[in-house]
Amino acid sequence: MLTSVRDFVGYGDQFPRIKWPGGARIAISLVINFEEGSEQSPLLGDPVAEPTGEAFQDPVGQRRLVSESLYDYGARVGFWRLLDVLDKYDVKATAFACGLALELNPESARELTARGHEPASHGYRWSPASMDTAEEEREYIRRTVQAGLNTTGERPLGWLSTTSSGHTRELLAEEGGFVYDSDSFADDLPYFVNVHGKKWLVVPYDLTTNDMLFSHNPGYAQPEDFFFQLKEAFDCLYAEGATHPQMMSVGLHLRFAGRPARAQALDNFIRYARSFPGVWFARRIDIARWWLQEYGDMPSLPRPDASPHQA
Amino acid sequence: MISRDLKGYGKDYPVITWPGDALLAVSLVVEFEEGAERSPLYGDDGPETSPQPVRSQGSERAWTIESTYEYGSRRGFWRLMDIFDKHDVKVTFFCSGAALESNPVAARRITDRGHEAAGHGYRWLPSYEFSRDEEKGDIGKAIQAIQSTSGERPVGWHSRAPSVHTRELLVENDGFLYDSDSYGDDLPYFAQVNGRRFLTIPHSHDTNDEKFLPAPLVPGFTRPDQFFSTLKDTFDRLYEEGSKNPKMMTVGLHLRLSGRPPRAAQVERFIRYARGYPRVWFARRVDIARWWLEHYPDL
Repeated sequence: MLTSVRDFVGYGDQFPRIKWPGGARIAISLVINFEEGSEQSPLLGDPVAEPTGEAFQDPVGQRRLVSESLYDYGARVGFWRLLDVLDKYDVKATAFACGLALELNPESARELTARGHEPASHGYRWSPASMDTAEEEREYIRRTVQAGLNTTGERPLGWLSTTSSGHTRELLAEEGGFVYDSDSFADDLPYFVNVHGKKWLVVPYDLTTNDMLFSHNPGYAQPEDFFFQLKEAFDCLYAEGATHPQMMSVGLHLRFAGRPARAQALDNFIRYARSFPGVWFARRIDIARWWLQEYGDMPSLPRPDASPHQA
Repeated sequence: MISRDLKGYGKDYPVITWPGDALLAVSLVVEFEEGAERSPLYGDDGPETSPQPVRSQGSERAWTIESTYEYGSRRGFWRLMDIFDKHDVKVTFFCSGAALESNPVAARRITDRGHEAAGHGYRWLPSYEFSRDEEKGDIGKAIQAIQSTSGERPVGWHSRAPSVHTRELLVENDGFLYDSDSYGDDLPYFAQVNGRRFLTIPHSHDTNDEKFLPAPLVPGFTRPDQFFSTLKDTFDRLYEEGSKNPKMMTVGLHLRLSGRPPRAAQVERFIRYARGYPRVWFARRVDIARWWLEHYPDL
């Protein structure tokens, strides 16, 4: 028999019947990834320019000017457009922000907290060099926290890795100031895991209800497809939420959802979700605090009966 | 060296005014490249590989791809021109010099009908493959070819893909009012080039018929009406924003792509849709540039 430290059971047949504030059927967490400027670039001494994005006719082995410019758009224009959409409906989001991106754009960093959004951490660089030792990663986390605090005025309480090493979660728990991480795509609801004998909260994220699919093939052929994806996810989770209140994450990027037609799709989705009763738009830190307050006694996963050795 | 600006206008986005108090300036851009693409006929190593590499091609001519390019110049051009005439819309053609030399009948028609003939290289090649001197030579040849075929000297420039020297070379040339090598904003802005200001009128990759190409990374349009839908959603957003901050919208067209019947139909559908709104200024890029230079030179 293969043995594994992974957890394939999760809540299993005991999916918790939780309550959200106000008796909501669904908590919707809008996530803004704030990365622009911290991606790979020869200007920062990186050996290659960031290869991902929407530019498809750029050189190899030098700066990719068209791609850079598309990233610039996200920071210059997309950021403000997304904040305006959120303000229009008075919903608050969580920003997973790279430390360097915040440092390169301090005006935007301050605006995040001024408008009540959560400034969470997304590493210092969006594409960090691989870290060989825990000590390097510890220093990397420390630097990220410092950059977030210096630029936004608040220390980050949540973390989403760009690339996760084997010990990221241990180091986040050890650092002592974090409340949760989102380095999981493995569940619909938050859950606890055990990190060196201590309970640690995971608020899972989603790569499908995500504007990343504007740059992946197959993905969204038109902005309306993004709306459709979000609507279908909402309809499913809202229906399930009648008996088991659910959580939905929406992943946004300044350079993708910040384009006019895609911001329109997001606007349409928020309006759609708003038309239902029992919808709680929440920052991840609000979800985390609620969970810790109401469900702090929920046992850590994996369930005791999840391991074949203990069955 | 071209610098990078992640802040742009920032929090205080400018409140500008367009002619006639329009909320939105719509710039249709037609890239006229056919005949300037890679070809062994011009001594290139191999054939053009966009839209996709042809199997077992080696260094020989790619007959099928060549033919799709010829369609753009032979038929697509006239179909799009008819739509522009029908709705009396003036547009900017970003012209590769060699393409106009290959179709002098079309070149004359561009300026006869009041459209703008701007520069898009002499050859349709990525500028980052040139040395600085080669690129300078290509820009000079493009100006010459566009002037001799269309009767106008181009004052705008858009690279297939810019190099770190492009903007410097345009400033040195001294005859250009603007470039469209940025994708970084909704409105024109002045970029800094060796201590001088140079106007850039940003282009767009998402409101662009390039999404009909089988691009390897980015999902494209699977149906022509998705092009219209993208343009409509963009228009709606920017028109709404325009009531606070008048905006600009670019629509990128290619003769061989939007010149095909079902796609040309989307272009016309969009023009009709936008014409249904009162405060829209269809403008050539040179008109936008002149307006900007006249009213906002200090922005």
